[in-house]
Amino acid sequence: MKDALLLGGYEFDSRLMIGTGKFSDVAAMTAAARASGARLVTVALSRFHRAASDDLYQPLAAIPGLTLVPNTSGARTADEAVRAAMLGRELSGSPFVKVEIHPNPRHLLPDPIETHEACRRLAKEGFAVLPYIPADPVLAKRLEDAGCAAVMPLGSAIGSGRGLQTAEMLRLLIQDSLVPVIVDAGLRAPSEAAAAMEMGCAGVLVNSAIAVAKNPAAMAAAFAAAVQAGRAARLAGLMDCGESASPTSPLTSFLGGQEA
Amino acid sequence: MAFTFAESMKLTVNGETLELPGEPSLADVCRTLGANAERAAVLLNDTVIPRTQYDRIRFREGDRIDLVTLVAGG
Repeated sequence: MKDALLLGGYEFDSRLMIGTGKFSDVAAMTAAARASGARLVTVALSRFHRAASDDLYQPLAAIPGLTLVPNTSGARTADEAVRAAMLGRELSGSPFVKVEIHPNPRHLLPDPIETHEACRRLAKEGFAVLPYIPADPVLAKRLEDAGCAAVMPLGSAIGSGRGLQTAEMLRLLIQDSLVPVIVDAGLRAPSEAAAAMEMGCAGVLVNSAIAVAKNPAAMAAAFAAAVQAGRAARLAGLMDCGESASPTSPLTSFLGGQEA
Repeated sequence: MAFTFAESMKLTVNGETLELPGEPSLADVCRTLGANAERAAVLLNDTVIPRTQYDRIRFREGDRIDLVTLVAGG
């Protein structure tokens, strides 16, 4: 596969991952999933409720080539996250798990200590572990050592739409990382996804920006195009930026009448 | 010694106390809750039960069961 995303020994032909939360209904979500071309789609876990919520299985199973990535949202400790991951695997049959442990509902920032412990245990269990983390280059290396398939640093707070607030840290993190770096959380505009890809991210995960757009399917397509453009630019090799101007045309002096 | 059959069993299912007749199976518990057993994962007293063992689950009085399914999420 040309320029495939390699994740935990699996290959994917899309670098855009999407989340399934916050959509107005299942039809809008599946339309966006199709339009995005995403191969990896996150889902959450919940207790069964008597008032049955919309069934996700059939509509997602009808989209060819999708791999589900259950998350551990709601877990506050490593123990809870490991349990959630195992439940998710029973339900999805997927080797992937997105580890997210964010105990504070106000900012939803990941708990790095519990996250590391959960990832270490899940990697040993054979999961392809994708941890949601603060954009911390040192933590990212520790998670790489623990056997994670990728790291997923945040651009800004979940659902905030504040874009790549962590850009400086992301650059350092990407430079050092031997596993794919997938920016997760905070993206609002496709241009930010393109910027993340140009920076050297292996992929991006987008949920809110697509789900709450006026036209989610059209926004999903826009993100897909932006991710492709950003990736193509990265591979093409961006020019260095300089302090001063560098002319693109010869600075001939004949117009000023001062022939040399 | 005579065998005594429990007439009912109290279980806590998804935080709700249920009293089910006899010795309920997982299918009985799911039915009571209106849950689809095919799409449920089971946590029994905080231990994940693999799908392959669903038929063999024997509940005991006071067990805590969580029936979990996939929902939309990021």
